[in-house]
Amino acid sequence: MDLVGPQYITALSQAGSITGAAKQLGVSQPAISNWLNNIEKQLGTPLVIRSRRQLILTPAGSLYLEGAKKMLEIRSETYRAISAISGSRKKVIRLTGTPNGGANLFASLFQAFQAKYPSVSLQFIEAYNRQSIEMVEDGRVDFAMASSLNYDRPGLQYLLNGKSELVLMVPYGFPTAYDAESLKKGDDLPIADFSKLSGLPFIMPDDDMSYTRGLHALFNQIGYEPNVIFQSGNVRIIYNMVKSGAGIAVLPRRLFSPIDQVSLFSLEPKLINHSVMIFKAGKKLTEEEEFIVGFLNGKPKSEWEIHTT
Amino acid sequence: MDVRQLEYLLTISREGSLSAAAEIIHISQSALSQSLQKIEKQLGTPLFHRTDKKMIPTEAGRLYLEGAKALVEIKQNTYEKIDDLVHRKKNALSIALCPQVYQHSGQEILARLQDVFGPGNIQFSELSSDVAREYLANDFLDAAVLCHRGKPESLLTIHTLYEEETVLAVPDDMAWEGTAVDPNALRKVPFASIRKDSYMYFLMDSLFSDPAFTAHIDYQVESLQNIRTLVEDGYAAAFVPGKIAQILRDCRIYQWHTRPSYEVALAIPKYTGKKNELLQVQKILTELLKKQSAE
Repeated sequence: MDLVGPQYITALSQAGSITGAAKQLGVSQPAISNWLNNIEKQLGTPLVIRSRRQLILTPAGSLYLEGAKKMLEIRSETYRAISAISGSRKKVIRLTGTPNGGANLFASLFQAFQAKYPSVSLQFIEAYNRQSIEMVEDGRVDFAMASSLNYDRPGLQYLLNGKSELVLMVPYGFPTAYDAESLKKGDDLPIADFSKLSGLPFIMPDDDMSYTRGLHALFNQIGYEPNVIFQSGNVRIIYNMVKSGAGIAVLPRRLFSPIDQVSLFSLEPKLINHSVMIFKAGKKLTEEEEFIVGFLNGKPKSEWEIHTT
Repeated sequence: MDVRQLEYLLTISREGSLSAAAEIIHISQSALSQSLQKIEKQLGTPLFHRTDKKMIPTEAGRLYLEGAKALVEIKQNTYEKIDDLVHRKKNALSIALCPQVYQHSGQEILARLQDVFGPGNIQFSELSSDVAREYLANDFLDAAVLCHRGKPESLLTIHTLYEEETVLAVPDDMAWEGTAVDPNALRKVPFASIRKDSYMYFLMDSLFSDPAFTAHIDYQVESLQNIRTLVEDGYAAAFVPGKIAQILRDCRIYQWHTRPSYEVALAIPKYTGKKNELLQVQKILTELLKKQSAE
């Protein structure tokens, strides 16, 4: 029951924009625009008013939405009824990821996936990095959404979703801190000078986190001994502590906002965190799994960057 | 709403064979068979028993066909409704009321308008003020009763109907003594607000930044109707339009110290071909709403 139109109009009315709807459905913006142009031509009337602030449904658009909602409801009722009698022979795909980032991604993935593959059930298991990788290795899950400094575990494949630099964050008032308010998103950062930072309170990521080992190795190499006052497995907590002036820390750059009184420094050599999908080496992805990977990665299959050890 | 695949399946079931269905649809039998197999694979269960003579729906198939039939019907129905709308009589008057007015006196206004113009000549709906403005600008509406806050409108003629005061409604269980807002009591009361990007929120936004507003917003809802439900069922306090406050059950109403208000007005596009009818509409609305205010 391929109900593209009803799905698109429902997402448009919820999101209030073509961009938002595309994001919610995991499809491209042109896919939605083209559909809209075609259906408006077919019906001989506009379905939306593309106004400055927010997209508004026309009277015809509201009628279309009303019908669409009924149709989607009937479709899920039908699928539910069929799966109730066809028993539990259902295919299951299991994913794991962190409670913060992973769970959010999963919520948007789940909606798009269920609409496309009603007979496959998708499960999410929360876990931090190290556990996640173990779960892939012993087959408890099919994929892990994780982050990693390098692709060094044997027997695994890594599919790169994105990169984020790990930077030293120093609150205002600490040695070497500078005014970072005018810092733009991609600007080069000054290099951290650890010789001026000895003895300062340091907030360390938990041992389970993806970059802790790499950070220790780097400190060993440059001979810096952090004065660890606190450890946490949650980067947001660490960032908030830096913001409130409790100490310095190394964190993904994407957490930074220029309104916070925090200054940023690159490490030397730079530490780059890769956000990846991890699965067993040699695993051949099914159609459903490729959909999941594509949804999370956002790029067509030909551009996937896969690393094997 | 592409339901072609579903119509194929319905044809197979009706004809009882792939070849007969393929002939009716004008596609090859193998293409039809493939499209059926694809659906069955997606569902993970067969939809038809393929016997020598006949295609007979399985139990899952029966459920699927039932759903398919309903979907095809809704699609046709929706397209017909849209077609009617596009080709509707151009001389019918289409009028919308903002929720404040619609919920309070919509029925009464509709009855009067139908009396005067004839039931077939009125299209009547509830629309939020910002959507109504867009509809007026795009010629989907002839007139709208909407909220208005002082700003001049370049394309609309605005006839003020009455001044609406925003008041605080608190469920009886949470209400306090006296007629003034008690900041300490208000602090402890769960609060409901309309969604941030709505026009109603825009009308009230100064209230939420008022230092006297000590409550915490626990509910963000879609519509004035939701606000009413939350207040009347005792879940939360909220700011509501004065007229709505009059019809709220099981709650107590307090005036806010700044006496915030906005205008409720009839808006008509400056260039309308229905001047005379709309003058009549204006007269009817002024009369009805003034009479109520007097009560």
